[in-house]
Amino acid sequence: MTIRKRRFVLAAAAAFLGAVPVLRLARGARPAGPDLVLHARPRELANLRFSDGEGRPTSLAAFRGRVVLLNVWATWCLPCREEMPTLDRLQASLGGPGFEVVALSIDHAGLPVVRDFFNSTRIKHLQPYLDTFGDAQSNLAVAGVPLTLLIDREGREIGRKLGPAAWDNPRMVQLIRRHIAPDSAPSQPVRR
Amino acid sequence: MVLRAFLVVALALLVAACGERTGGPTSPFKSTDMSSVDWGRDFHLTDHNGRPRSLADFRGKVVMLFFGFTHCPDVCPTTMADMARVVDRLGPDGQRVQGLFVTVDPERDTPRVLAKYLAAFHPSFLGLYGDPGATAALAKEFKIFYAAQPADSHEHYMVTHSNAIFVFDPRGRLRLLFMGGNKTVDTMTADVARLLRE
Repeated sequence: MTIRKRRFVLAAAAAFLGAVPVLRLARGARPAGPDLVLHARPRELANLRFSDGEGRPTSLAAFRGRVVLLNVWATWCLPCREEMPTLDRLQASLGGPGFEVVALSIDHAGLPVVRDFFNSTRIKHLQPYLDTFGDAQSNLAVAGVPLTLLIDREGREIGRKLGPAAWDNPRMVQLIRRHIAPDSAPSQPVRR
Repeated sequence: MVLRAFLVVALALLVAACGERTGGPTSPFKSTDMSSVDWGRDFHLTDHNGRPRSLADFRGKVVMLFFGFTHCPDVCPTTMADMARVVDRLGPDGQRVQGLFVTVDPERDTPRVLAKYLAAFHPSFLGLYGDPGATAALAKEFKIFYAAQPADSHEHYMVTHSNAIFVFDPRGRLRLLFMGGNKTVDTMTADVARLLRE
């Protein structure tokens, strides 16, 4: 089947279904697109419970006092997989007492598939977190992944992006540096 | 050609809007009541294990049917993940719920791809596919239309896609449509539980 013919193969749900987002299928696409959108003012965020790489319960409140880039993702989501190395590099360069990338998986299959993916992709700086209680999916109104939130030291949402990005690009690094207060920012990149 | 495709969709919108009854004060359901429509009756496809499947195979179960494709677009819909959570929330009753994923991209979504994809959500879920003719017939039956979007030189192509779930009761009748703001795990779980109690 030619590409020209194949373009007719995918279906559009009938228009009565309401909002019909136009999505782009991209084979081997690189994370790209605009960075996250900053809100005019910080938004209060419900506390999210989730579990860490050892299966211990934790929550967003445990990160209070640090700037957090919360990335909601899943191993079955191709764009999520593609952007993960950029998040890993961001954590490598900025992670520390003042900042952490929290990669929160909504995988039903749990930590093993997340660990497998981290190992095979050589993700070294990120810790696996799991949406064990479904809080991320319920409280953040996640309609799609990846969904990424920038959260300030008071636990408020200051920006959000639906869709992948190159999170280690200079603009993003600069933006996050600005939000990590100078007094709490590590002078040297801290590796976990 | 493209224009004609869009006109067909627009027509479908009108037809569907007339036949659709939203869950008003008389409906015990939180989601869109589809009891009165005379389409979306059945399907004849093959599951990812190679077994022919139609709605009759799932008698006694509530069926949640979702149309999609595994080659994830820019933003992956979380619908299948939500469906898995509904099944989990129902506890033992979850065994009387069948999640189905119908690929609208059968060329790339081979049985093997489907099997791997579905396993990521729930062990009980099945991926269904048909040849282009069967897919076309199904699209017609469920008022799903072919998108006519040009592919670019990198074989990227646009698709229009909805996250709506078609829900059938244990007797195999199309009853509900989970869509839009009502498509939360809470409301879906409540409505599926109600169908199971009938």
